[in-house]
Amino acid sequence: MAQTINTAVTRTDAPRKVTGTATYAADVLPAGMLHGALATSSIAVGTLTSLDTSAAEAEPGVVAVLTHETLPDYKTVKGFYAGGPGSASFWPMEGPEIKYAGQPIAYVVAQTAAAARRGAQLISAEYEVGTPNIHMDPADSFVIGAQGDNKGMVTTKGDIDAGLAEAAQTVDVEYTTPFQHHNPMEMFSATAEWRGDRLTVWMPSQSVRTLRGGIAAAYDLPETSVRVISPFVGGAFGSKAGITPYTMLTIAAAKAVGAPVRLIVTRPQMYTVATFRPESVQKFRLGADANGKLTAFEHIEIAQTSQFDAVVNPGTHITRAMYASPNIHTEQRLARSDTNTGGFMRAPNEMQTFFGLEQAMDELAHKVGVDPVEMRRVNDTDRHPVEDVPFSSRSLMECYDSVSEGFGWQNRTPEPGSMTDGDWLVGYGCATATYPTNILASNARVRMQGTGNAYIELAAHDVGTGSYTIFAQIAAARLGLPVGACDVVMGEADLPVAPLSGGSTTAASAGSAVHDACLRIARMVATEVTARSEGPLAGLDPAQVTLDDGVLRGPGGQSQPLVEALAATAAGEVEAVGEFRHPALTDQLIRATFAGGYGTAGPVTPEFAMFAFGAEMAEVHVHRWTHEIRVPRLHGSFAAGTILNRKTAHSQLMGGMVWGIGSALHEITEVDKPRARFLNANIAEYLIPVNADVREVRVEMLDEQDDYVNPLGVKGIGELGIVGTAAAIANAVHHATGKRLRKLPIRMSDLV
Amino acid sequence: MTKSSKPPKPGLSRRSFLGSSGAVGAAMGLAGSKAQAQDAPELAAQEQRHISLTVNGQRRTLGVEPRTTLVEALRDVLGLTGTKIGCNQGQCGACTVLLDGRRINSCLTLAVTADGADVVTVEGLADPTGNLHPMQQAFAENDAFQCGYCTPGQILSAIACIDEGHAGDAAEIREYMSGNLCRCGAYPNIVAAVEAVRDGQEG
Repeated sequence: MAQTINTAVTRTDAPRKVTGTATYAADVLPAGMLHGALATSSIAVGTLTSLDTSAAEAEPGVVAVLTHETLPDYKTVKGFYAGGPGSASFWPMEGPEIKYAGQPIAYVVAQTAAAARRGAQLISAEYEVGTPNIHMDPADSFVIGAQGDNKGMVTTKGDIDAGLAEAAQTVDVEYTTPFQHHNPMEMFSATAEWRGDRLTVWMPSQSVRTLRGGIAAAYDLPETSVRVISPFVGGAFGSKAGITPYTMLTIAAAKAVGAPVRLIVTRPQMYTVATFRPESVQKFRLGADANGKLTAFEHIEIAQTSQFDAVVNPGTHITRAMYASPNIHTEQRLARSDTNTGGFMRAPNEMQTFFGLEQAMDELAHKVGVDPVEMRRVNDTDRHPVEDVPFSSRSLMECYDSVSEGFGWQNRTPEPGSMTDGDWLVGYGCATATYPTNILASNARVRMQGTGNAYIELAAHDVGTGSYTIFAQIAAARLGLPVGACDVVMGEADLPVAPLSGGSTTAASAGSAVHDACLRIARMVATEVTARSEGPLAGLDPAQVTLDDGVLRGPGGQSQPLVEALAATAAGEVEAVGEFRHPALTDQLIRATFAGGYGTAGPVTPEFAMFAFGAEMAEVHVHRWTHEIRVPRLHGSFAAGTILNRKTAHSQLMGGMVWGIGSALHEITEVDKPRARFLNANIAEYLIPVNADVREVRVEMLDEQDDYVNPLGVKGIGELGIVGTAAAIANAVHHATGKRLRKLPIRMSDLV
Repeated sequence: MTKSSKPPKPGLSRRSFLGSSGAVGAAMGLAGSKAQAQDAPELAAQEQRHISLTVNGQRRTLGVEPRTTLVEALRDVLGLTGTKIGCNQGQCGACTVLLDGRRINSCLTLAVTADGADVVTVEGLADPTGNLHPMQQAFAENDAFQCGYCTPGQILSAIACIDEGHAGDAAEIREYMSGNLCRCGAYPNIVAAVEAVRDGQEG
């Protein structure tokens, strides 16, 4: 059974997903359910002066229209970045105030979805209109920490100016990245059903316990009165973590009409009722000696935030960990504008910052005249450049060596524009990928039966990542059972504590709790069977009995499969709750996770810096006459500790790289500047890669052992794949054309 | 065609939810305007029509509003929730079903226009004993999805892609599968699944 881990296991939920029997949140139909629809503001800043709901109310099928004047009361909660469970700290329909375009102003309940939508269209609003700004002004930026202080948001090591002065070559460059929206395929939805003061909410969620805690607080209910159910999630990427306005409004509407209500948020409304990736400016000043070795490293990130939250995704904390430099200066800055609060979207600290960092390194390598891969090699480091602790494991250059060989990097001729294929200019580019190993507390309950079955239960989530499968694999490997005999139950807040599925943490943290539960089961069974008068382990000291791939082994070579030993116990069944408590987790962090928050330790502990690494290489073709940009090949090699499932891990890394293609060439939420509105708020005009955009994507997963991060040696991979891609493509575009494009996305028009 | 009687409205009377009344017109152009409001009674007759569909081989008769889309009829009336809504505006392909053998976006198809048609959804692909359709099997084995939300539409589209003769090589498959978006980025595995079924059928 040892082979269960680090093999290619087909998803255990695949039969359900290919037959349409996987139940997503909007697939439930409670008896008597009504349908909700949102009306949203057409202005970004101002005050509602009147709201005419009469036409909507006269619409056949419409049951109720709720406004800020008629909405049932509930307590609002703080936003995620203020330490609360909300997607934002400002709650719409609490009053007439409008703070962003697309803000909900009315909620229609009707007998059919069509009637609800029609009702929402019939609502008329008048406003006193203010003057909005949707773009931040980088000149008006400020430093702020997540807790309202500046702690850790500025780094100074050595003397940056001296480092720049002594450099043989320097770059002083600025990169910009746009607003982006997650656009999971599953539309946001919430279905709420009250029975007396008991509430059930079906909603796609990356954090069912965050939802339950926040909803219970809003209605002063004990958590035991609130059920939150989310067994399958149709993609999340960071968009389904907190309690959103549409959640709270649907719960309130169900209370008001006395019937279950389901809201499916329209695709255009998905752009304003939840979070997004804020726009950013990445400023780099780098200096290097004649060999490419850094003498100075400065990175200032300015990211957009709303008027009412401080979205701090500290990308400089990641970039400063990459390369050795005697002189380092980083600043994490924010600038406000009139939008809803942004949040975390796949690699929220890394995608935009590495688009900057890895192009700046390429620009510097070009100036110095060293190969871009060699540039990374001479600046590789086994200690964190700022925190001065060793990396728990760091296989960056192994990744570069692996990807270079498969890609054929040696065929690259350094001069831009020097490689062609007919009318196509050919470019090769590379970039570093990384992702911090975040650590959170988790529990998991495992029940094993002597008949050879196991049940694994925890309030974790499978947002498409393969969690159902890897938890079954972990239990199967430890307990000595087939994967198919291990049933995993997740996505319900009542289950044992597991953390928010974000920051690439579920496999590492929740998986370690499953592992621990299995070890506890083995100890319990060993204690019982060693106390018996018969059996291969009878009479042994249970402390001397160990579990080895599903087999209990005594010190003298005695052994018995765990399942057989269990079958010989009185009950023939055993249950244990496993815990993952990494030494770096403080009581405060553990309690935060138990309270539904995000109590993460890492990536830097007093002992080690913990990061997964990768190296990506892109081949880009740019048509000489039309400037059409294509990516025929994208290769990545990654080292992220133990790979639990080579099939699902491959898909995650590949999917991340496809996201990177999107960031590089397609994705931008365009804005209507005078009105401060998102303009292309649909999934045809907000471009994401389609099948024809994606050609060869090759993923290599290197072996890497890391005994510090967690008992399984797992680092997260959900976000790693996207991190270097946009820069690798931009660097390849430069190599093909000689044009350096510092703004995402890169378009044909930039090359004319 | 029968006119349905409206079920009683549950809970509180909607009259108790009247907002600030009397204001008419939209100063800043909300989607709903005075003009649209006047058109409303014609558009929203709420008259139910009975249509009949052959869904996954079974004859089904159901009442729908003229404005009810096929995907809403499948999901909310027939309870066939395997077909997913990803955008409800014909952009993503998640709601793809086969209508008289052709792949269509069921969110852009009014149910009344499908009266008498043969509809195949993801629930109708496995054989009666539960054996998966080769395309379902190929999607599972090739990990041609992650979250699984676009998968029913991808699978039906993939079956049609081969039936249409548009699966000649990988480039053609990519082109003819580009109407089905996958945000998890499983495209290379989707192409591999289609190739596997195509080759299995040839062999």
